[in-house]
Amino acid sequence: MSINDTLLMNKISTRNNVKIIGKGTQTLLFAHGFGCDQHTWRSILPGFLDDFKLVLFDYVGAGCSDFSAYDTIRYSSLDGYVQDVIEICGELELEKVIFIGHSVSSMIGLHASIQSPHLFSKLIFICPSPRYINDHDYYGGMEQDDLDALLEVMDNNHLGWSRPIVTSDTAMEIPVLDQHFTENFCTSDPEISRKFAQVTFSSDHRKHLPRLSIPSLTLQGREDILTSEKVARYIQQHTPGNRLHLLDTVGHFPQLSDPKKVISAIRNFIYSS
Amino acid sequence: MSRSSFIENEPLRFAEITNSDYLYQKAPCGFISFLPDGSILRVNETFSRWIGLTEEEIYNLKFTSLLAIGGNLYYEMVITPLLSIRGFASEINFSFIGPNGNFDALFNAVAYKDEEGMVIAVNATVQNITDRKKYEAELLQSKRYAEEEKRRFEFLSNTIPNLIWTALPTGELNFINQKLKDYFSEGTVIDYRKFNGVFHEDREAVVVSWRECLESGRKLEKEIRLHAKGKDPEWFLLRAEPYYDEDRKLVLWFGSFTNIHKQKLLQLANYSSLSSSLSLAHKTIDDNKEMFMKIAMNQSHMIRKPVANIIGLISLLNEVKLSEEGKELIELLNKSADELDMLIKEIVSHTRVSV
Repeated sequence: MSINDTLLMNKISTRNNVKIIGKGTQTLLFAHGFGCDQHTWRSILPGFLDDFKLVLFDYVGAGCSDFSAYDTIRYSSLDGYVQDVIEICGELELEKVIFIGHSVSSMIGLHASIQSPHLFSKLIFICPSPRYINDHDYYGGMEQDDLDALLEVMDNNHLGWSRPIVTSDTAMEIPVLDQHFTENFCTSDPEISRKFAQVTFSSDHRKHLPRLSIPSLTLQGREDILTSEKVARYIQQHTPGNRLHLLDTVGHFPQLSDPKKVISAIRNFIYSS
Repeated sequence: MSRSSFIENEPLRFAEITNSDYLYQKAPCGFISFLPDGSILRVNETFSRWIGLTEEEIYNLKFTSLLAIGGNLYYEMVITPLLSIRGFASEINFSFIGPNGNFDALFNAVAYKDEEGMVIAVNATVQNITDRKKYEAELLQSKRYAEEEKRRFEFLSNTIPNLIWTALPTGELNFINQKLKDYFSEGTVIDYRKFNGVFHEDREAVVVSWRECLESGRKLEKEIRLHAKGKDPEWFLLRAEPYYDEDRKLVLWFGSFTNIHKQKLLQLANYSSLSSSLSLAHKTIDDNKEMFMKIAMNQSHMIRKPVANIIGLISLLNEVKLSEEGKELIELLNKSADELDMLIKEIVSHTRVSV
């Protein structure tokens, strides 16, 4: 095999900054949410390293992905991100994976599973929402004005986003993970982040929930400005085989604020059936 | 007054001014400490004054509830993970809810973490930037206005059938309209820096004229050929006009290419027909001239013969005995014959040279 073939083979992995760690045979695929990258998983990874194969990645336009691969048309809907997930699984020849998606990635996993049912055996949604904006008979938690206000704040903080971010060494000192997370943080492109926010918060996936054919788990914290128990219950009611696990946590990132609770909830779900 | 004399003369004041609690409370920025769930641990006087609530009132609130909704969402989605992963956040622009409406502030925070790297609390400073923000908003507005103007110009220039471009005073292209892009769409990548769409035969001349215009600031008008890949070169009228701003400073060149291919071909065709008729006329003149010379030569020969005879007969007459009067007449006759002979010789030699 020539070097070119090897490069070509790893095209998607390079594009999406794929990292594979862990010792097990069952694969867990971790998909980060909006405004973040694969670092969002750092606190819960130690809970799975010994008995699972962990696949981490950054969506195109996030973290250390290849920004030149960002295509305005492809990523103008969530489907571009769904294709990222499907292509990663294709290149790594993954099947029967347990997909763990945070925030907007929950719905990305849902679509990927509907489009390619063989890819996943289970889905885990952390703080999911099928629609963030309120509708006449639906409570999403946000108004259009709120979304506009968020976009305005993002506009005001272009500077902070585009400045190169360099971490101190201590920030990433997690024993087992050192070798995987020693690189610096990558810069975010404010324009891409803004578009991702727009795509994320203006999307509506309610009608796709009933089409899911595999078991899924929703993890939802108690206090969360973006998603709520009410939204989680809506998902449970409309998604066949969905289990709801409410966590006594505060904020939209329980995997960072309460990693132990998140690890045990995920492990319970994996081993329960 | 020097530092040492101030400390010596005003020890109590010095102690008060530099006391850390005084500094904390009266600092020209707000201090706030809160738990990861947002519960507020402590704020300083400056911050509670800006928020318009007493410290006790603030302690019943969550940090994010002090932020306007957009900032609240942004904090939960972007800053929370940032503080958790990276440990600090700098120069975040938030709107805080104040007693007289929202005020803009710059927010800087560091996370206080335990041994396992979990965030235990966040310490933050808040800097009120209301006035600067107004100025920024004005700047932003004028930037948007300028962008809007630019879009208008681009829209207008795209509706014109001409190929339009603008260039900086350095000669570097900074805009080309859609028509120009379309003209070169196949194959040729239009690089603003080195526009290479001019037909190679005309390129050097264009470069020279363009450079002269850039140096002199005079407008350019020139007929040139453009050559797009896959097309034959076509004639265009290249125009470039300098645009001067209010300070009479050359800030931009407005340029256009107008397709004059048909007219130019017609003109070129006219030229060639004119030149062929001219050369025909030339040839006719030449032919006529040659004929005339031949005639002149022939005629001069024919005239010379009797003159030679006359001269011969005169020399014979000189052998014959003649009266004095007869001799004088012969002499005169001889002289005239010689003059006539010379004249004819001159004509002959002249026609020889010309032919």
